[in-house]
Amino acid sequence: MTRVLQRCVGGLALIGAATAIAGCFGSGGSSSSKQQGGNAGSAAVKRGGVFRIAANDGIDSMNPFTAFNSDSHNAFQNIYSFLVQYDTKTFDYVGDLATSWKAQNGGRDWVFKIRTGVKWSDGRPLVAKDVADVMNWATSPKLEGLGLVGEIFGGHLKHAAAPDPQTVVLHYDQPIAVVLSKLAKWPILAPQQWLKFKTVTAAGQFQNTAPITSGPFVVTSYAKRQLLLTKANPSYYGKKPIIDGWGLKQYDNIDAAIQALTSREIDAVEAVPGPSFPSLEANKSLNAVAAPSSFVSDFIINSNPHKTSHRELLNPKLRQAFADAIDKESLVRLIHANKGEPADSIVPKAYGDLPGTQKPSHAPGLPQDRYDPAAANRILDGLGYKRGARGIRTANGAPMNYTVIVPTDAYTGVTRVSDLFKRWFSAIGVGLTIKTFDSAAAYNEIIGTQAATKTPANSYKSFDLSLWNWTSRPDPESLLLVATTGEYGSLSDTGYSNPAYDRDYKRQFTEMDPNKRLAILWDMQRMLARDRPYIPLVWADKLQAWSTKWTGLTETPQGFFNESSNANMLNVHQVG
Amino acid sequence: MVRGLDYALKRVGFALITLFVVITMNFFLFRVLPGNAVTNLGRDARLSPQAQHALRVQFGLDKSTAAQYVAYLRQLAHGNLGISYQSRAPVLDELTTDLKNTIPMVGVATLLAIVLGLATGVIAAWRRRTWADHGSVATALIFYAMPVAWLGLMLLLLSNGALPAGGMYDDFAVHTTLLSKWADAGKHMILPAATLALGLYGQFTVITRSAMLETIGEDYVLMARAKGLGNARIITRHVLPNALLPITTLIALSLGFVVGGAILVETVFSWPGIGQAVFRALSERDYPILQGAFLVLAASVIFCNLIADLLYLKLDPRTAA
Amino acid sequence: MTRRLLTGNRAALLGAALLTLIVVCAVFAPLIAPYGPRTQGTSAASVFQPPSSRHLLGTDDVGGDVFSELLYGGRISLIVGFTATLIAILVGGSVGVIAGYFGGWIDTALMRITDYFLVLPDLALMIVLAAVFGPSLRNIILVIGLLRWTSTTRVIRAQVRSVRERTYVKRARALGARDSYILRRHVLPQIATLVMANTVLTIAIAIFTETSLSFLGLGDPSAVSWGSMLHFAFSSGAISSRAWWFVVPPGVAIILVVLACSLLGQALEDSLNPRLAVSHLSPRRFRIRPAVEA
Repeated sequence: MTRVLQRCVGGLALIGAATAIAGCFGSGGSSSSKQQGGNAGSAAVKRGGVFRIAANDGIDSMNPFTAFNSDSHNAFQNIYSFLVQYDTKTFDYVGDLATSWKAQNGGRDWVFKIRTGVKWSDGRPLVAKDVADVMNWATSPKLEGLGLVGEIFGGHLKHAAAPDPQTVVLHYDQPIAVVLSKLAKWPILAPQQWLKFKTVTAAGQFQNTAPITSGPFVVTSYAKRQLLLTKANPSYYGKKPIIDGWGLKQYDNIDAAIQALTSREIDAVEAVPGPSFPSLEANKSLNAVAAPSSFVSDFIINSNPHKTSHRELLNPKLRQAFADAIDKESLVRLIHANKGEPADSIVPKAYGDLPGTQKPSHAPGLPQDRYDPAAANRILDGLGYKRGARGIRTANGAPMNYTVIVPTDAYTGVTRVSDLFKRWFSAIGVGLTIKTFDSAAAYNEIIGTQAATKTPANSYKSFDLSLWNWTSRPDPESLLLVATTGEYGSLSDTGYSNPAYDRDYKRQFTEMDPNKRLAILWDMQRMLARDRPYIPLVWADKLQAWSTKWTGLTETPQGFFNESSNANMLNVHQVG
Repeated sequence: MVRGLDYALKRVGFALITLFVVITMNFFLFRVLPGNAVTNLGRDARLSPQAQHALRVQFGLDKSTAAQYVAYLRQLAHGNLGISYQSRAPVLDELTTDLKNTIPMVGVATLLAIVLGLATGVIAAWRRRTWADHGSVATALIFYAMPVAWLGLMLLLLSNGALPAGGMYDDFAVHTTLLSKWADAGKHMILPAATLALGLYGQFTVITRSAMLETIGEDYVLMARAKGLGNARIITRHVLPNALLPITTLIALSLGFVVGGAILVETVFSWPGIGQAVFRALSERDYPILQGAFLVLAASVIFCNLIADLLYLKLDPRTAA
Repeated sequence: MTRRLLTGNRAALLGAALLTLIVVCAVFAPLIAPYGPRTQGTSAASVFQPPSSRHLLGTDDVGGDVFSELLYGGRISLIVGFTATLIAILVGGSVGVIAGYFGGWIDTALMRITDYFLVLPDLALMIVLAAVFGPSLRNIILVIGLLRWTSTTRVIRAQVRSVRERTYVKRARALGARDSYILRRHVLPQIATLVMANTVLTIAIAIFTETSLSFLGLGDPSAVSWGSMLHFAFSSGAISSRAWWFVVPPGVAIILVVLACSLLGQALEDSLNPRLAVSHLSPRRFRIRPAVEA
């Protein structure tokens, strides 16, 4: 499942503000985007109804500390408040619970002003102390190891204070440039529900099926692996939803979900695989939508400098040859139904500009790969890798036969992609053996050791190649993190270890000037493009479908039901 | 009848021993699986080595295998099947919910299969060597030969939207009456239960037919016919009861396997039952759930085998000899 | 003896004919198939094409030819079926002969082990093992073979026991004949037909199981099998795209093979000792095919 990677990479929560909120209260965000769906004064709005969604991977846990799946976080986005969110057009930060913020003391202290008159769903008033108490509780030593906390605060939060009921001050131990993107993922949890847990075990075991929240919707019922049903929060501080509530229903296979959509048992499907998309496009009662997304499929080449076997894989020229041997266009056509484009970086273009810079977070001018098997063959010939038995070349005395680790649950069609790779590589004299695993086992294969601490010397030594993918949040920091040495045994799936890259990562983490920071981020992407631990394959559009009886949904790179913004659920309504 | 009791006790004893062997081997089997849940969980939360250790301790993964085994047995004795790695909820609770979802669907399917099998078997036997016979047996064999997952997909294709494609209920429907609620549940159960039933009934047909043919040739049936008794009476009063012996035990045995084997049907129809739980737990490396599910499934099969043995004893006293 | 009865039995003939036809198609797949086993299309439009003159059974989720996949897929399904069955028969047969012939505590011990394997939920266990050993053809074959031997054991054991009690065997032993002699001369010939019958039935089960495992995505990724075709159809939403040509043919192929094996196997079983014709009614000996798991 991509969920593990997805989840980690999503260290920056995107909380899309309802645009109305941004318009009325927001600061720190640039121009508020206009209301989506064109329902401002146009066709009559039919109020009410329940918007029914067929889940992608489903909700695996209602506990934010233990939830992996993207759907869980999509759900949290729409039931909890967050300090800040993302505007889904510009990906600037807008306030949700917070009305304004500023960084002081060189970025070590962050002051947030939060709204007045907010209530928890159990009626109690929500004040700054609630926010601070939960943060201090979560980052306290006795709860060390609690999921999500490390991602958001990374051990850098010294203390959260609430000098008055409307002000939260976060004191960090160093300047942190990415505070907003991290906090955009931190749900505001009710102290009355959570503070009573004194240990990691207790906090992790809490099922949280009836969460006390302050977001636009409250949970009315939850059946694990089946259904999450919500209704509009009557005491919500923001724009009132037009629908009565939404529901997320689990379908284990795409045919069942599509069938339910066409027979009107469901109103929307979150993720449609490429091959079945054309038939949905042809269906006049459905809106079949393809939106540029953050999904990037990739081809991984083991980049651990201490790799033991097949060390020719570390040769940059060989990697260039590999890149020339891949026909990315055909992947777009066959696997993604022509909805997408070849990728040149794991950082997507879909998120546009980095807030505060007016420049794209995706580095411009990166080298473009072209499908040129003749060039690939020339390079390999030039390296002296002669062809031998069955046309397979020999390098360093051993035939160029490599194993490709394929996690079958990574994305639909990944196994088919491996087929194509076999064909392409045999054309350049390289033999590929495909080994399939599920995600967990695949990770273990790649890491290759059970040692407690993973270093370049003891791990990532034996695997050759892999196929996987990433999805990410607007700020590229958490995606670029995966190629640092510090992520050995955790997020790293390439074994890439480059001190210059690691230094860059540390610098951008604390660089408070967005333009300077962007320069570092571009530099990191250029390093990856040069060293090629990943050969990025395809930026695939997110394919979704919903009934034409509903309107008001905007496409975002994460889909209509996402972790960036609750705007869609606030705007969606039946066609009048 | 002391003999019978002796036999019964032996069978019970055997069942218990088998259960114990199942428990032990299941425990060790899952220790062989590569990767454990902590490596899975730990990666996401980016735990420090201390925190990873804490997780290990929590799940008892830091102790030796022998110590873990003893702890497992002790937990079992208290009816505690452990805590799921993934949801941190008690395994027993999760499996109970899953079973509660699986059993009705599977129960309906088995009932359907039994009825269908009996009916077609009786017809086939009574109208031996006619088209009814050949047709029944041929149809039974064809369904028997279908891969269950494929059959499910075909029914989905054929139903063309007339029946729900997945799930147990229409969770969004608001039901004003209990009847409408049941109707909804029933509608969702039709396809999965039908798939299971169609795949299962073929055996019953063949067995019923053979058993009936065997008894039809018996003298007492000839006697009954000579006495002028009607067909229906002969079948129900004289033939079926004797044919019931192998049929009953066959059914009891099937139940065990059917509960354990609904994995494919639950996958095709998104049925949130124990079969689906097994497959999901496997990809999540959720050992406690897997262990618990295996135990439950194996126990149910052992139990059904025991019932079959005891039934056999009741219906055919010669067994005790 | 067997041959005479077979030719007289139409069902058995049909079964044998079907099986032969399928095996021939699989063996000569490279000659019959218009394309290779794993082809891909060139454009988005080539995905899920209905049957045409260029693609007899249309195209699949990446534009490959379904008809060719069907033929090549037969090879894998049949190879797995036959090989796994071979293992199952060898293991099960040996255990059955040993248990049945020697009796006593050997018998009890072996039967206990057999009974343990019988109560395990087959498919669930195979899922686990396929994940442990990795999805390769060899491992799938081993897994199926090592879990399916129990039915053979029971049947063989029963027959061996009855042979052992026959007068001429008892006489031979009284005369001092060695066990190996008795096994070779008297026991094995008597169980030959039974083994054949069981083999054929087990082939059907093995193919079934391979289909299930491949359907769930645990099959060998580099080998096209009927089960893996269903897997791709399922995960790419073939049904919603109404691509019936991708879903129906693999199923039909499996039905034909299993039907053929069942017909043949039943006929072989029935052709034996008439007592055995109904002994399969005994639930102890009747190994329920885990139909619902496959």
